[in-house]
Amino acid sequence: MALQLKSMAVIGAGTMGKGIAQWFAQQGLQVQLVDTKIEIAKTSCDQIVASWKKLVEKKKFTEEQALMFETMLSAKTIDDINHCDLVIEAIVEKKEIKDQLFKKLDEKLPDNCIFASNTSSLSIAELSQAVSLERRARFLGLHFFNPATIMKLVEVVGTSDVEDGLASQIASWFQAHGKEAAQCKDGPGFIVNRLARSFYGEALRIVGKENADQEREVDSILKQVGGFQMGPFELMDLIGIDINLDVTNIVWHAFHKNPRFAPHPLQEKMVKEGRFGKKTKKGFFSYE
Amino acid sequence: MNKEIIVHDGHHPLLDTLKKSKLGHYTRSEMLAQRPQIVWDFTLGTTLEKREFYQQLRSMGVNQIHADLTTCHGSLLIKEFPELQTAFASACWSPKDSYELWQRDPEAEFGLLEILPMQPVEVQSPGHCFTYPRVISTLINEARFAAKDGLAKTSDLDRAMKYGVNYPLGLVQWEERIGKEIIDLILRDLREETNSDRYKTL
Repeated sequence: MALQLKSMAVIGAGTMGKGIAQWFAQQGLQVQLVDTKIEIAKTSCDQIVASWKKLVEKKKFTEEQALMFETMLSAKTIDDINHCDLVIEAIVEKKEIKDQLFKKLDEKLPDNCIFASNTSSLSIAELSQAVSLERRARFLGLHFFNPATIMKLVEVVGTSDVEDGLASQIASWFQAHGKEAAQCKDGPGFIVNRLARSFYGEALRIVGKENADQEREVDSILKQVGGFQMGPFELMDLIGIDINLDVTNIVWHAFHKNPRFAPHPLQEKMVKEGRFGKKTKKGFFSYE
Repeated sequence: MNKEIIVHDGHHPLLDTLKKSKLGHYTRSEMLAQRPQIVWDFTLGTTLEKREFYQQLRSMGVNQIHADLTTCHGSLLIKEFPELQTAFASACWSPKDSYELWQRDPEAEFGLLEILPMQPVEVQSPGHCFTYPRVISTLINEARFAAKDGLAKTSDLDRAMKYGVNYPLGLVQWEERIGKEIIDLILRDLREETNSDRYKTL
């Protein structure tokens, strides 16, 4: 039977949470955007509304559509969250904080509500231990990619506790709403963050030590010959060298320090020096 | 006798294209009778195998080698063999229909485009298995491990990379285009030359 979703909540009104909330409202669901303080949630809702206005100017939506989306969106705190069919957590990547949140949500929300985490690095099975046995059957990973309104992929991550067919039903729901759903098991980095590690790690090993000309050449070759949209060095600068190193370390440790995932000394050196990429105006390339 | 010839071992993915060249094409055993002075080497081999081959060419009096070094340590070989004038990576299929090219003299014109009518991208050094073949081989290797681990169906692995990070192809599909033999050779040479399990394959 096809999954019916009419309402949902996103916990965490940061960049990812905002994008996820916006996308669901655009699908016609009642969306609650939740944060610790109502002011934060309201500010994020205002930013989403401003984004719709811009999209109307660009003729991506009609004014009627934008007004309809606006009526679907509301700002909430955890204490006044209403019942909904799906809740997606998109808060800070700290297990203890997520555990507390899921415990609270488990008590507040009805048994049929599907729980999901947008985590990119924590185990879904471990996170699901925070909720009741019954809820674990409806607890999955739904990993969106930034910006969530544009990037098509959603990784649908199941565990051995999830009830039969639920992950497939959710994947089909996303496919029917214009996303590309990739189902996978609960492994370190899921699919993308595991498989893409070599894109950065091997490029770093090719250059070995800092050399902006060579880094530029590697980027250029991988675009001109490999057909990649961005080279690994410009992409690391965009993502943040610190964030990229964190993900590498998480996957490397989860695979018992398998050399396929080992971080490179150059990444570590740059992070120690506070050169995180575009956000600090210095990374592999300079942005001053 | 042909002064300038193409040598291959029957395994190069562009063999049909090579055969269209006006140059004669021979296997390694056939080439001996040709006593060539210029060799376009399209054999596939590891660094060790290429080194042995170039020593043989040197002893035959070959004074100019242009070689596909996709699957070996090109930067080492161009130091050891001044006869190597051109090194390129045409054995690894490219979604952009192009390949990496290194020339000892960047201004020299040897007629490569007549043999390989794709877009060359000039590089400062061949490195070890060039850049694109090396990066794509390690990416594909991880997709092999993920499939073996049962992380996801191969169709889901491919969908994730195409729509999550905008790769032009999924990695499983990419391996099918390049060919398992090429990927295995690249990973084998990287592992042998670096002595690292980073390049261990299934």
